[in-house]
Amino acid sequence: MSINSDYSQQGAGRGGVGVEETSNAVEIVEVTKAFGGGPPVLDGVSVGLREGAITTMMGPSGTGKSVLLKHVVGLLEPDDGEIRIFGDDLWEMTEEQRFELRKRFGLLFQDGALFGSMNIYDNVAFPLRKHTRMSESEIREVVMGYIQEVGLEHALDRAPNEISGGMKKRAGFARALVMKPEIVMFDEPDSGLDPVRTRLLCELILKTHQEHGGTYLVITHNIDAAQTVSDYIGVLYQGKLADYGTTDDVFNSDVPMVGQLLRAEPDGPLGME
Amino acid sequence: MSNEATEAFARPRRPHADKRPASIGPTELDWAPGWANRTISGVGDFLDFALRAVALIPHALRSYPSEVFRYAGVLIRGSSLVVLFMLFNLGLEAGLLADTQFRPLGITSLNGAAVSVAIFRGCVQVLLGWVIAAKIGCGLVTEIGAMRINEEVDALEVMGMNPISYLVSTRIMAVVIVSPGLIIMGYWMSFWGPWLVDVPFLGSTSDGAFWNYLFALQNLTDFIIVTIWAVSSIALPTLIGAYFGYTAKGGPVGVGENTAKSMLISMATVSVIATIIIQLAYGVDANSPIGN
Amino acid sequence: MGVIVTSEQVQRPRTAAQRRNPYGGTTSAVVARMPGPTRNFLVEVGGMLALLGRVLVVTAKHPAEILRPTLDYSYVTLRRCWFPVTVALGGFIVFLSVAALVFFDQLGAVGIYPPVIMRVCIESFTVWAVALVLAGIVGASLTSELGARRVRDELDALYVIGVDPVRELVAPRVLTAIALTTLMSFPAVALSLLTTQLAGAYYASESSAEFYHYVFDNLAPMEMFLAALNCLIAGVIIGTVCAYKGMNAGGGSEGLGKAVNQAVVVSFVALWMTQTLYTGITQGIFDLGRFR
Ligand SMILES: Nc1ncnc2c1ncn2[C@@H]1O[C@H](COP(=O)(O)OP(=O)(O)OP(=O)(O)O)[C@@H](O)[C@H]1O
Ligand SMILES: [Mg+2]
Repeated sequence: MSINSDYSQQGAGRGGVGVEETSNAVEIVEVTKAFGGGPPVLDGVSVGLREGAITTMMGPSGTGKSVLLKHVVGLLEPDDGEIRIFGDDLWEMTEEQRFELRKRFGLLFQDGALFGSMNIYDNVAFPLRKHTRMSESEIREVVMGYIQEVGLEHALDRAPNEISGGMKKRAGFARALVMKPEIVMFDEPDSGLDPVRTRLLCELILKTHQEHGGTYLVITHNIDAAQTVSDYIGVLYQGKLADYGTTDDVFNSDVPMVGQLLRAEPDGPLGME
Repeated sequence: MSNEATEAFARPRRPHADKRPASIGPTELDWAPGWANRTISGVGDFLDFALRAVALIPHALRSYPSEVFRYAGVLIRGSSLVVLFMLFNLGLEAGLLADTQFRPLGITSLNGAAVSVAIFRGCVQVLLGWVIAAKIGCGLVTEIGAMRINEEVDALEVMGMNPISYLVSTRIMAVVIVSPGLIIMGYWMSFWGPWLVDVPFLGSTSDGAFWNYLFALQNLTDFIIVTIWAVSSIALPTLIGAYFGYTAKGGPVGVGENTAKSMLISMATVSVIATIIIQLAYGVDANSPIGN
Repeated sequence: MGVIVTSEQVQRPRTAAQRRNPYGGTTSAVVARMPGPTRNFLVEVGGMLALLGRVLVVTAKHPAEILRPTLDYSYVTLRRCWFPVTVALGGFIVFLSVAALVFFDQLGAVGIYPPVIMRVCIESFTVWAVALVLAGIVGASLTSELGARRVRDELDALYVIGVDPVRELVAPRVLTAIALTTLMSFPAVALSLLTTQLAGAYYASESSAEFYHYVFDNLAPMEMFLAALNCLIAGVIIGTVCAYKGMNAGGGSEGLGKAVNQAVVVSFVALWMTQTLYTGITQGIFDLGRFR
């Protein structure tokens, strides 16, 4: 019934830990998107994000991974196709319903997108202040929990333009998670981080996933990170989904471009163009 | 390696480096508040930049004439129509107001006089300055600022070109080339606007009376004064725009902030110029062929 | 290996998308067939009107929630902009009063100077100057601030958190622009009266008693009301244009600078045209020039 259903029998990746078959929390159906009359960035992409699993999207730079992610949260409207969140078409809803639905999302932007006018603490507390009736002390408790997890206790009062790129990422991470969202998306959580931080961030993703559950979508260029965190991997190439499957499947894929990408080989269909 | 060669290497690069005074950098006035120091050093920076850009105009003309004429073309195509349209609109408004104010007094035949004194001596220059600040000044900030952010300015320097000459002096020269035509056409627009309202539309004055009074109340001295005024109202916003573009930093956000800042400073400057020139030129002597 | 399964859902007719087709309706179909520049113009105007509509709806729905940030933002804006606004506006007003005085002095008619210049200021020029100065200073800073948030993805982040940026950011800013423009007209008119009077006293030795006698004899409530309405319209234009341009700032290093530049130019042109229209209409309907 659901798309990608032929993968349901196969075991999952993430170091061989099995994942139960679940339905799709997010379904992207034949989404096409072009900007300003140019060639389509996404050209009929269909993929589902399994509920409770971590799905990773990979692909060369500029193939529309961030664009796909913006479609899932409804920041962009597809030219054609549908986005279904828990079975409901995002663009059949009213604006109000979409705002209501977005409270169940968490998104870490590619460069953090912290509010420049607030300090780190207020940035993380912002969703709670807007959407819950918690008292300031309750908010503080929750926020400090997440801030400690990402290790930013010492930078609470700093403004976003006073901290490094990696710290911005971690603050954005805390802000994405603070509402305990059901669908969490990370746009290149590891870009601009050193290898150790990347490793720690991956562990953090896995840990929060274990603790709070939820459907995760991770976009990354980092092969190790993809291997560590993913249950499923999708590969986007030239506006189409070139491959999709469990982590092990995709890493053993016989699609030439996917093999080249995951093994970072210079020879193959991918070039500098 | 021979001893001489090493010595040659070891020679100080700037022979008189040690003879320079310890600090020739910007000096702070300890007793002045921070904003005053910042303002003074900002104005100093701007003057330094503007003088250098103007001094490099001959160099720019010699080295990059095509760039000068390309940008002049851009100005004529992109900016002149907006500017002239605005001045024409100013004329319409002035003609309308002159009519409504003078009709009850029965002196609508003097409409041409009102235009020649109140509009020609200042309003045209101030509004011209403001429009130039918006259209050309901000445009320069955006264009040069984007190049600065993209490190194109540094790239030019690395390629052995003088970025101020190539980017700024050429554009200033283009403005110099375009502005006489723009100013004359602007005056013309600000005359024809009120003519259109007062003579054919409202019929408040006759064609002959309009032009007669218009030219009776101005003379060559007027023309020279207001043209100097117009030139400075064009030149300063242009230089301010180029300065803020050239000194942009902090990514796209910085370019946006600098654009807003240059607009702010240009507008205030144009107003201040108007206040000063009107006092200097007309405060004591109305320079009029009648009534004096 | 993975080829995506095409389920029956995937192949069903995609009516939803067709219904969402931006060029689906009649109006949109007409707009879509326009030549490029006209279409862009219509799309921009439509976008601005839609934004204004959303601001009004949101404000009507949650007035209490929006009042607070509006006051905050007004305070911030005033603190940042009061000085340049005062200089730009004050300079223009001083200049205008001297220019007007010179004119009436030439005609030997200083007697009619107070009511006429007062009317010209209230009915048009002061209000106009307020509008242009606020567009160039407050409007530009508004665009650069909103645009910076757009470029840093902050607006998208608000959407994702489930907060409507129009309600959170845009509405308070548009309302601030409207409020400041409207409120600024009163001190500006008062300042024009004061400078006109001082100019009269200094340059033509006119007594202040006579001046104010003339002024208040000829000042009708309708004039003040029309001036406030004029400023309100100007404020709506400034707020909407600048917020729209900021919301839609493009990426890249020149996206934001371009947005600020266009915001200023577009609001200048729009203000200039509405000003002439407004003066024409109000002067035609109300006999404002009558002397009492
Ligand atoms: N708002 C937009 N307007 C026009 N073009 C856009 C827009 N957003 C994205 N694009 C284009 O879509 C393409 C895909 O962009 P996207 O940011 O999704 O790439 P990506 O896969 O995330 O790359 P990277 O790995 O470098 O982040 C690019 O060519 C980009 O120029
Ligand atoms: Mg991306």
